[in-house]
Amino acid sequence: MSIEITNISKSFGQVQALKGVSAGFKEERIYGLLGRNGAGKSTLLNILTGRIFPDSGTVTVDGEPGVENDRAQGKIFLMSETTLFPDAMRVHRAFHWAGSFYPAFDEGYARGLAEDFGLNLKSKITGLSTGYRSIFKLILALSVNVPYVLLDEPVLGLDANHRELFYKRLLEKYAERPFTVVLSTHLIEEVANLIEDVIIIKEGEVLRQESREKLLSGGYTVSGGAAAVETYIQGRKVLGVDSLGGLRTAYVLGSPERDIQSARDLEFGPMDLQKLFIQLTNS
Amino acid sequence: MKIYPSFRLQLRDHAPAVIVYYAVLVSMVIISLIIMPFVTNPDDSGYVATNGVTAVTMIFSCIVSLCAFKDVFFLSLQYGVSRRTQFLARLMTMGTICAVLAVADELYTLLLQGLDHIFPNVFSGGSLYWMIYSSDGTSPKGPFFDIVFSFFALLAVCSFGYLLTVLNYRLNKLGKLLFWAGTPITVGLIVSYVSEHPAIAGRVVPFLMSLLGAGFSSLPRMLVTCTVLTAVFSGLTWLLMRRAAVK
Amino acid sequence: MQKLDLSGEKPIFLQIAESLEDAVLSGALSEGEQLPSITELSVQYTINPATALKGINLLVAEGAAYKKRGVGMFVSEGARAVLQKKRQGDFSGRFVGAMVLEAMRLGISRQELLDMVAQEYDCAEKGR
Repeated sequence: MSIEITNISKSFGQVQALKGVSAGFKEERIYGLLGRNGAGKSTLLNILTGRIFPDSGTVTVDGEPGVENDRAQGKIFLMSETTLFPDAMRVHRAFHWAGSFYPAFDEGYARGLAEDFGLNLKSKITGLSTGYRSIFKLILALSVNVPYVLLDEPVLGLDANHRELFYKRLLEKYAERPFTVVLSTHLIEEVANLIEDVIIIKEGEVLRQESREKLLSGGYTVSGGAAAVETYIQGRKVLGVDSLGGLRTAYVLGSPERDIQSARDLEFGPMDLQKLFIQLTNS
Repeated sequence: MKIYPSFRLQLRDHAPAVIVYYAVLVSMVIISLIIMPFVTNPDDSGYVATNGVTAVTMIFSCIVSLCAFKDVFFLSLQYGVSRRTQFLARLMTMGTICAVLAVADELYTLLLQGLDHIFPNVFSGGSLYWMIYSSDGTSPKGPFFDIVFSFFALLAVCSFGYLLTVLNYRLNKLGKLLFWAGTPITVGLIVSYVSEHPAIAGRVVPFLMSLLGAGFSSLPRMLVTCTVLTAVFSGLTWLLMRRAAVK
Repeated sequence: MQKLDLSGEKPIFLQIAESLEDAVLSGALSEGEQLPSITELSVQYTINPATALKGINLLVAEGAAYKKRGVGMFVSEGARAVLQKKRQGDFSGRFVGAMVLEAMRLGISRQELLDMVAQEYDCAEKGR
């Protein structure tokens, strides 16, 4: 059981947004879909949910074609930055229709969440502030009870309290009845400990897809005096180097060699997801 | 299948407009009844004539269809409904709405006819069908025929309105400009060209008249023509809709 | 429970295990008592449940916790002794080594350091 994306390409005029992207989302796992602005994350999610069509490539959901297929799409919910709700629609009406289209939608739970977040059910959706619009969409995403929940910039405009509340509710829901979560976000540090798997997209191509653990164990940081670090990293695969005065921190792939001569005055540390992301996606 | 909820969603989208439309029609009758004692002049006859209400309903249904696409399309995609299901639900909705409008028009016509009996020379209500086909007694008349006529006429109009709005959605800015400005200009140019050349007009006008006659000269012909038009408009709509993307 | 250092160098699952160990050692969690569930840990620290599970499994592997089917995880009888023994083994490397290194960097002599340790130990004993 999974969503499989095979060789998806998509252009908008002259801009090639996705270049032969293949990726998979397995059941009951939490993914981080990471990429810089314009890397193609939203395009990919929009193709997955049939909102736009790819130029080539296929999407399968649990083994059957995913696009223009009610049964397949009934298993997916995408919370997107774009608001697809009509101007005059009020929150409680949107809940009502969610119940008609997603039989497992839990309206009581949705209303409870709305109360927790302080979202007025009678508000017009398009009249909500950015933060509350995100909250409204998050509540739907957490209440539809489908196997695949895709969240594009889930915490856009949310204050720190609401972000924490959202992450907690998400994990409670996940613990109670596991489902696949795809978190597409710029706030990597916030989700770094939440996600199990990482997909990094750069300029329309998948740079990495593996478990967070594997990704992070594939590299390390080494820091110390400029000369010592420069000597150590000679001949190694270096992703990048940060410098602060006479100090250097290098991000290196492979495993550290602490015992060799040039490593004596150096400090080794684990790779951190955000640092790794920045190094991988810099220009 | 999500076709039933999708049908309900689209029906709900139409409901308020339909209710308001008939509320306005009925309140106009009521206002007429209230002010009647004050303005009745024995010389005037039938000044509250609402003959052929279906002609107005056709314009109304066209406008409603013009507004029926984008909101529903977006919301349906958010809720994972395929374009195919949306389109099938649209056909069901169109059929239902047209049937409701046809019956409601007939009820309205009967209401006016009833008032005509009570206040002769003040109210008059003839159905559009009766005015076109059976006022001269050549075709059968009665509520059944009124309703059938209205239903098929409205169906053709609604499918045309919906086709226009889907086409408008698919066109980009330049396309919209070319289509909405270009079509009237082209038609205007052709008309003025034809009217200045009697030789051409002499051939084109009779041809158009005979085409109109062939298509609409009797109720059965009109039903066939409207069905064909509905099928053609809906077919074109599907071709435009099946690849429509969110933008 | 103490705050975790989510962006720190130490893996989260180790921090989870250590904070639970600390709770057992300090008596905040007594032997035979139920441990927080995976869900509670995951929600409390907003971490993936798999990470929380890994932390708890570490305690199980040490013999400090055990699983009651369908109920949850519990602190083993004798867990405190087990953990004390383990921590004693780690103690020199984890704490003393780092302290000596820092003392040397600051130019504190061997005798001064020993005196400081003795003084702090006395203080702590009195305070108990």
